[in-house]
Amino acid sequence: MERVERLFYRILASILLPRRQRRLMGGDLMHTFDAVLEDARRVGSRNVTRVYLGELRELFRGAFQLRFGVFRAQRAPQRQFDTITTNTGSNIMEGWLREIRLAVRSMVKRPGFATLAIVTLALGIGANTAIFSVIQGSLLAQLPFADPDRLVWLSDGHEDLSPVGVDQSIPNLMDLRDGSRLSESVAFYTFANANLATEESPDRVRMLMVSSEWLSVLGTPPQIGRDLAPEDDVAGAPRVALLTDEIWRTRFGADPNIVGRDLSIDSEPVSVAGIAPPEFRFPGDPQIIVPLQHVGGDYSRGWRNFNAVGRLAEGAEVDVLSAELQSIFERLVEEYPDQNAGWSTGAMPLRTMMAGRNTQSLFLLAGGVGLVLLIACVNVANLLIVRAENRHRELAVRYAMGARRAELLSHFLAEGLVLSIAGGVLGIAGAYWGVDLLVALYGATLPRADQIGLNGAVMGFALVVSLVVGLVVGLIPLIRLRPDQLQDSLKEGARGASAQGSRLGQILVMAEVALAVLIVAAAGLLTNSLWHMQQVELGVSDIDRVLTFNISLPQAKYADAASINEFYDRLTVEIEPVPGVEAVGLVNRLPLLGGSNLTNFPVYGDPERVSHFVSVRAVSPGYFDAIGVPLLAGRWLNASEFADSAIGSILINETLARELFQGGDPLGQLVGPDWTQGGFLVVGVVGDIMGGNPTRPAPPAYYFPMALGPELFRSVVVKATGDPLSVLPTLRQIVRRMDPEVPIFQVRTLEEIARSRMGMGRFAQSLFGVFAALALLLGAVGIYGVMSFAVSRRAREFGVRLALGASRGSVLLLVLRQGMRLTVPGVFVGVVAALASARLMESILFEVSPLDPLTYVAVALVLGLVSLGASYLPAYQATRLDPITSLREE
Amino acid sequence: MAFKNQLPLTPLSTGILLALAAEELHGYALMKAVEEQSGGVLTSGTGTLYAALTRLLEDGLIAVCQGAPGDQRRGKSYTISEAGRELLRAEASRLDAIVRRAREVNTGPDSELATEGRG
Repeated sequence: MERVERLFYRILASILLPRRQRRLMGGDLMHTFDAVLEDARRVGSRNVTRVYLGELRELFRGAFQLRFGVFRAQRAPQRQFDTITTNTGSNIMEGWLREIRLAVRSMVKRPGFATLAIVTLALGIGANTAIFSVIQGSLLAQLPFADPDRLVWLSDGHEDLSPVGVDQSIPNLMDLRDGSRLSESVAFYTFANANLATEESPDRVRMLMVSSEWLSVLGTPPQIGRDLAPEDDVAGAPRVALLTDEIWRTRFGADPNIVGRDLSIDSEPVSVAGIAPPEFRFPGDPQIIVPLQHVGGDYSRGWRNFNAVGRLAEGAEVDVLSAELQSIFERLVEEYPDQNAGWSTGAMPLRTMMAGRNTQSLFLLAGGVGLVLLIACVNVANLLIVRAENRHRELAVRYAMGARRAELLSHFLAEGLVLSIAGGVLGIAGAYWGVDLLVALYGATLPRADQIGLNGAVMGFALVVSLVVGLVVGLIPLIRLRPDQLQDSLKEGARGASAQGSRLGQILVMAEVALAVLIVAAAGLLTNSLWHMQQVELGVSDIDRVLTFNISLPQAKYADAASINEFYDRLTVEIEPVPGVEAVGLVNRLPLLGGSNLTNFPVYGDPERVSHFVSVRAVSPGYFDAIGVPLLAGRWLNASEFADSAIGSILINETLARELFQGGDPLGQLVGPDWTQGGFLVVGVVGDIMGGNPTRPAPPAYYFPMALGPELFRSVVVKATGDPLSVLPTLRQIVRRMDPEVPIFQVRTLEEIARSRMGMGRFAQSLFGVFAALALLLGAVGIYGVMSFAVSRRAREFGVRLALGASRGSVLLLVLRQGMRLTVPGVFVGVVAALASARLMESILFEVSPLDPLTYVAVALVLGLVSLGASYLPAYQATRLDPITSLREE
Repeated sequence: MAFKNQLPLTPLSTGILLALAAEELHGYALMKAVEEQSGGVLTSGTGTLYAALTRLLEDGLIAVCQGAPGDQRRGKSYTISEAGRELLRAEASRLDAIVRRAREVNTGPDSELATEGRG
């Protein structure tokens, strides 16, 4: 915190003090400032605050003295002996202090007004601070690596799939690394999971497999022990691992002696080489880092399961590196067309990769929350205008008594600043909770969530926003405060300038309505989009009753297919009779998650009829029962097909059937690439299941008996008759009894998977919902304020009308019509602006056009109704006016 | 009397010149010296001190020491110039005249006036 305070003083000094001061003395001021604070610190920490505030005051005073002159006697000789501190600067200061005291006093006198204004601003500033802290932590903050702007992320692209972001193969990466001159260094990596066994319990850990340059490319050398060395990276070398700071602290009690000891990873001894530093973090939150051992290892050019991080050579640009890599890659396409045709490669800043695909949603949120703040400002400015209107005479008198325009200016500025600073403080307090709440609710979908918080940068942002808001709010009422008019109004009485006053108020309210339309429209589109996403049939049923968890067998103990199959067969048999369990199944990859697919999957022997990115699912007999997927044609796989690997029968889903056979009968056909040696026999067609991306249709998929491709890792799906978590303890016991070294991990219901799949969409939608509610509320308050002011101004006129026999209904209509005259142009401008900016939202909407007419009609209607409601109350009051009283008032 | 129109000096400027007339000082020591020699009456913060120093530098009454002594951490040292000494002498005799006049009309104890009472 102290560093922030020092920085603040320093920034303030460089802003306030004239340039000639720095030219003469450089930064010498800071030496003395530091010495003063150091001296104060010896007395005590409370003293530091007092001295710091005093130093700030003296800085202002010194700046005024230098800018307006005191030390040269000829400028103000008559003032020299007044007091020690008398000088022009402190006169201005004291004038300001007086204005601020006055402003505070007048706020205290009218607590209702002040509370409304402060709460309004607090909502705006607090919401902006909270969103800014999310953006700052997720996107803007420097990556915790050395010289992070030179770090890039390499990935492939495929013409049918995505231009970037696809995994790469090791041989391609090695050729790229060796051929590139614009990258200083490159390290490869991939993710895996591993079983880490210690005395207490087996644990599943996230493992990053890297080439040995990994930590040095990122510039984060180990805090303890040694880095990975090239010889660790050779196939067959003794296995070593680095621990991340997080697992070192949580699992090993930050014991430095762990270095050099052996851990059991997947039942094999691995020696701990070192501990990565705390600043090392990477998407996917790896816990241990092991060498890939790719040198001399068995990695084919077509096995795309890797990516790379590189460091740009000094002075090189990402785009140029991308072009260089692509030109190298084009040679690789010619050389290895089988593996590389249709592919491309490139680099992007590592920061972009780590921000993920949520950048746009976050900036959209920032825009939305900025609009909310604008509305809040307009509202408070309106309140101040109304107040100034009521005080017109007072101001006119002050002016006539010789108050200069500058003093009136400082009066309004002081009012604005007092409100905005109070609102800012309240807003920051609110943001403090708000940020915690946001991270708690949506941390999983936010990139780099652990870096989100109210830090110095966020506080600085809140301070600047508060000051700017104070200036805006304070200055708007001044637009219409011209000296000549003030004098006129003194002559005419209070009504002279009111027409113009309300006109400015009207324009502000129209602007407010227009801004509210923008926000409500965005919220409407997002809600619509989310609704469409939720309406999509997931393809699975009773998801709230389906429990899922993962199991991974240690390789050393389960070395052959028979022992793996035996374990999983027995697991199924043991779980089935548990009370409360309706069905149990096993699969290599859970539904609704995507992943595990084949790039090309043709009709056997006919490469022209092909489907791309086909999900590959190995299943046990109970799988479809457990997740509730229907059979659409043909038959289920039978017991002998599950047992005998030679038969090669499979099920395909509806999408794969359509893509391969275009309406023809898939049953009895052979499908699969050449390596299947004879193809798979299609015996049935099952329903589609959605993949991992909520905005994409269900991927094609085929299902084969699990026993054909035994794997150590399996996901278990258990359908319960009631609450799925109630059977979990029994399931844990069963696994522990079967093998205490086998961990259960990632326990989730299918419903949780379905929900997290919505990711950022849900985050953006719910926040925009909140913003829209705020915007409507503030808009309603603004309309109400202006209308009730207008009614009070026209009280005499309404009195006369009523006295002359106008019906109450006609007066009501008159006022309501005036309210609509504010709303309709506002809505019109807002809708035009929303349509013009709608393209910004296109990429995050699902099955909703950003120009969706229904949404816009609904938004216009909602705003119309809200403003009708807001002007009804003043209108009703107008009809209740007693003609006699309102006539007598003048 | 070439300084006629530069008089009277502000108390802080007088204090600074007086302190620097005795020895070269860096910013923080100067601040302390000014405070001490006024018996704790004349206190200033960093901002006001440097404003006064800027003015005095601009007017050539003080100078930044070339090859200043002391360690880097404390920053620059300042010294009084010949012009500064002369101006200080002129200010002192002006104050002296005031003090003498005050004694004649018997306004009160000398000690109050010597530190330029608070008015």
